[in-house]
Amino acid sequence: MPALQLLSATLESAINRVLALDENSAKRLRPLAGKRLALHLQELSQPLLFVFSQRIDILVCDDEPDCLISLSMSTLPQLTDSSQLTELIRQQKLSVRGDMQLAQDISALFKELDIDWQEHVSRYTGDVVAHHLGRVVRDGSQWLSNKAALVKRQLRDALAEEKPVLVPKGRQLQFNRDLDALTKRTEALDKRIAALSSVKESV
Amino acid sequence: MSDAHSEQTHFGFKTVDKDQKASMVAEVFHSVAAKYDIMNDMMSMGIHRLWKRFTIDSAGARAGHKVLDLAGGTGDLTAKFSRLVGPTGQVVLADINQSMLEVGRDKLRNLGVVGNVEFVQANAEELPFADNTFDIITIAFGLRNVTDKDKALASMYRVLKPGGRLLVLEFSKPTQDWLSKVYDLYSFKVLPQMGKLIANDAESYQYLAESIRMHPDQDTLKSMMEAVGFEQTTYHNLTGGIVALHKGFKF
Ligand SMILES: C[S@@+](CC[C@H](N)C(=O)[O-])C[C@H]1O[C@@H](n2cnc3c(N)ncnc32)[C@H](O)[C@@H]1O
Repeated sequence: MPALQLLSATLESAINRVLALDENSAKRLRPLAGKRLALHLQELSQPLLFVFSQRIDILVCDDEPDCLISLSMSTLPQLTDSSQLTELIRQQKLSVRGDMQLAQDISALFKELDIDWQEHVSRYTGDVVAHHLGRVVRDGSQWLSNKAALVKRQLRDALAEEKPVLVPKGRQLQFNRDLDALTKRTEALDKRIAALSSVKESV
Repeated sequence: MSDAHSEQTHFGFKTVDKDQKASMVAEVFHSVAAKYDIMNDMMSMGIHRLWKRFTIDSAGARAGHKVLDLAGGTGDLTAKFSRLVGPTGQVVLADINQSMLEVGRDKLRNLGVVGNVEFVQANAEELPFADNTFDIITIAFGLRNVTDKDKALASMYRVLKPGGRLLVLEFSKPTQDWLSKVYDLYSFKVLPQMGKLIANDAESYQYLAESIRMHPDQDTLKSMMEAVGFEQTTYHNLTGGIVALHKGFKF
């Protein structure tokens, strides 16, 4: 399965969903239309190309962007704070090539996101539940950020090397035999169903 | 039905007259058009979306490009291409089947895709476009339904601009024996049953399964592309060769 495409698809749908929660996103996206920003995560074999229009499309490809950002995944969360960009560059945790202003505009797009999560949840559940949920979420976020660090590490390891899955020869032969048997049984079943249906019709 | 002079071709595993095939294929897609997207997701467990993404990722589409999404059906690729080429570019969604085009038109309108998309009913074998028109041509899960594939490939070559590329996404030959077996079981036993349950149309899906098996394998298709003039022709197996993406350039 194309693993990087699974990543880009998931990321793309998540980002666009989040953007859609703020009604001002459409307006903020307009000046960015047609721009392309490539994100080169050191852990991935190919860069992710963010193409801006009325939404954001993410391609896995190394076509020429307006702006190329290279960094490692652990630096990623700090990108939403545009005031930190220069500091990160100074520390060489981040390199930006091309249109620096574009990188800042995009960072601002996400930073200015104003999403009333409580409001969105309440639409489905009613206010009381939403209020309680808000508290649970706040308490849970601490726990989550601990977990997130772990998941990030695992994800990085998994993506860094797409290991081919090796199946021992014997297991594979057995599997082939099982399959043949299954095919035969399915065929037999097919015939019986056909026979039964014709009996039913003739009754 | 068939006299001594008529030419014959494959319709799934059946052999039919050549001029009959186009209308039989049209019939299949006419009957599945409405449920087509749901079936796609069910049949491939959603993986067709990743195969299509891989195709778009390989297309090199940029602002201002002219793209032909041939046999484009309900417009999955068109929607994305439309955003990638922007208001200065253009996407032509072409399909032989009017019902598919209509489902596609409605879907794209709901997605807010308008402006730079044109809908054209066309046969891949005789494309109604001038020479050297497109920067990119894609044909996703369409070529195997075309009667005369060589003629269709030549027609695509003709309307492609020099420097342009063709991408053919199509079912192909699994590279592993065990995968072939699972796949046969799935497509000849499970698939038609699913087609029956969801679209109440087992026959059309039986045809799909058969047409997949009759389609040329990776190397055959590659040489067919080269025979009509494509250069730097390559292919990339996806999901163990169940599907392959062929790429070729016109210079
Ligand atoms: C399996 S669908 C693929 C649709 C779409 N590209 C996708 O990937 O979802 C195949 C399409 O090919 C179209 N088709 C079949 N024969 C054709 C031909 N000779 N010329 C143009 N389109 C054709 C059918 O009408 C149908 O919409």
